[in-house]
Amino acid sequence: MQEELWFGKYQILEQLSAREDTAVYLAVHQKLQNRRIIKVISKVSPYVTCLYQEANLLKNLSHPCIPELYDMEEDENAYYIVEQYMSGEVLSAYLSHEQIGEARIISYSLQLCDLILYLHSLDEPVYHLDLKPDNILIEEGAVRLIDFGSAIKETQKEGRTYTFGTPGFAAPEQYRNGNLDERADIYGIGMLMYYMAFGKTYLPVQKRNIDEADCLSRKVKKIINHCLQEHASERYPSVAVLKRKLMAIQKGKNKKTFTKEFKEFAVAGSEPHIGATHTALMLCQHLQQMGERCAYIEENQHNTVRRMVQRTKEVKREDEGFVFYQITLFSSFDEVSFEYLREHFTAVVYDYGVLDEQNRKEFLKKDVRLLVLGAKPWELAASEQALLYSEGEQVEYLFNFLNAKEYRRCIRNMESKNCYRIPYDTEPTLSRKSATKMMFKEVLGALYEY
Amino acid sequence: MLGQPILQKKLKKDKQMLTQVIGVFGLHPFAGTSYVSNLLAEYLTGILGKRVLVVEAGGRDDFVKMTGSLKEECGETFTFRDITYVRNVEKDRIASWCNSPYDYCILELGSCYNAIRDELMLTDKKLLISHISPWSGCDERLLKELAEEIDDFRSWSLVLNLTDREKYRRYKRIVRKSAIPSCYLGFEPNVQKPSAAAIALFDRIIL
Repeated sequence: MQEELWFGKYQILEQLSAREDTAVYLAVHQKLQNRRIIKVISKVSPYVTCLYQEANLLKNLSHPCIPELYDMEEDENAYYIVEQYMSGEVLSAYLSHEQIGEARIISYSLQLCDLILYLHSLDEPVYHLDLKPDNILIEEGAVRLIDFGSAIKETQKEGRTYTFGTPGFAAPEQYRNGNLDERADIYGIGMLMYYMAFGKTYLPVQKRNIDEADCLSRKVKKIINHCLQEHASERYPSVAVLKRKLMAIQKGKNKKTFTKEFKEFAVAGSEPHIGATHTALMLCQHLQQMGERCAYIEENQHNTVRRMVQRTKEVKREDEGFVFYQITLFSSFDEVSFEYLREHFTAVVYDYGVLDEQNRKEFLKKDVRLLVLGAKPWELAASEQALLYSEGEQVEYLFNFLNAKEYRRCIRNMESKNCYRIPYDTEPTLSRKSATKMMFKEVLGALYEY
Repeated sequence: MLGQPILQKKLKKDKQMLTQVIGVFGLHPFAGTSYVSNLLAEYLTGILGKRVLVVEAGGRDDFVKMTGSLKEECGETFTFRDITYVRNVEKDRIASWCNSPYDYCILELGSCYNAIRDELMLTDKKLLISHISPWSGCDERLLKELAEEIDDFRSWSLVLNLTDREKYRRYKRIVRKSAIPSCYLGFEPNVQKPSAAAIALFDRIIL
């Protein structure tokens, strides 16, 4: 194209795009013979800060599927950023000649989740906020992410006064200048999954298109629907959770339905007063509402059942154990045989108190293991120890005493683990809160058909 | 918050020159005395703009962990977010710390009544902290014993921690028996940022 060298080193090969104040060029570094992308923005453009922001973001990123920033230049009229050229075909062009099935949709989505998870896990998390087919490159099955013009760091999101993102692909809260967090990118991933499946942009009125489509399995449809919820609070709380759901489908793990008549649940906490007993009793109530005949077994020395008997009139003595709001309680002093439990109950919840070396083996033997953790600064040491005790095992991790924001921050480092947040609920056995019910549905969802 | 006209009016009325000592005592272990003490300290410094000293006499050394100050070597005292903390103070030194030149001194007294009874009675305001659940909660017998010793009920407050309105209503019958003015505090996820409900509660107790 142009023979002149820009800044004495770049020869322009072609112009890739051009708008009023901006342009993107493909260039080659004369000496290194490597291709580069040069983005140009006029100094009078109101979006000059976008370029600076993009440059500031890219300089701190280091990922093989995200372009690297090489240089930044200026002349009297414009600013230029020089970044790595990433080969591949944009997703929109790729889908115009390739029909991809569910397996590839999941594969590409998982790669995208990895990229976004990398951005969200940085010390200063970065939200991309412009996930659309034109910003995704596909080359030989690999997914690459480009164009960070709309991206922001979490610490900078308050100062922004202009809207960003692409209409039709941006999350609803981006249009409303609402509170932005990682869930806006989850919406973007859902949008891309929809695009890969149907070849067009998603509109909320087209929810039925997802539900009635034959090209996707029920599980994938559910995931897409969940990502594309209008309210951020109804989407997955983090990309790690979304990734886990996709991996479960990819590995062919179907929803395990309990065929056993008798199920054993173990609940333990990382330290005293973290809420293990409270959680165990809430679980009992939930199982009871699911139609199970439930028993609570105190497998620790905290004397909870005895104290309940002394303090609460609602606890009544039965032939075996005590009954508290239709849940049968057995204290650590009651000797109840396993055969008796099998004969009279369909679900038994064992409360191990604090997880330690002594009770670890028994805890891990049970069908479902719930470990209650804290994430406050003074709770972290105990939580880390408890995580070590459960390393490599299938355990559900429940975080207590956290609000939603703290929880999302905390689980960034818990990528491959099943994590949930216990909603604030003052009543362990009289709970009518839907949030508690939803949490247990999520936890037990792999085990029960809801 | 300081820009609010009602709050400014209240602050103008505050003509106290001596250090106000607030005793925080847990009716049972793990009631949340350290947490509520810290929350109260944040309220006094952040909202009312006062100089606050927190004296830890409960023996658990929780404030170091709570403020994340374990990263550095902490001496007997340390400062975090404009609040000065004194760690592990023995009984005979409590009085000297309470006479320090601060606007408020929060005395965190743990939960062993017999050990700190005298110190609690000498404070200007007394906060009793409890948390009610079917297996633990405020000891009615202790409450009764306390109530018998109280001359001035206005300087006492019973705070039911991690409680919501519905639960408070159900347990109000128990706490009312002691005649100590009671209130409830819900879930405060951020100890460094009291919620509006916590601020309203502390306004009622302190101002």
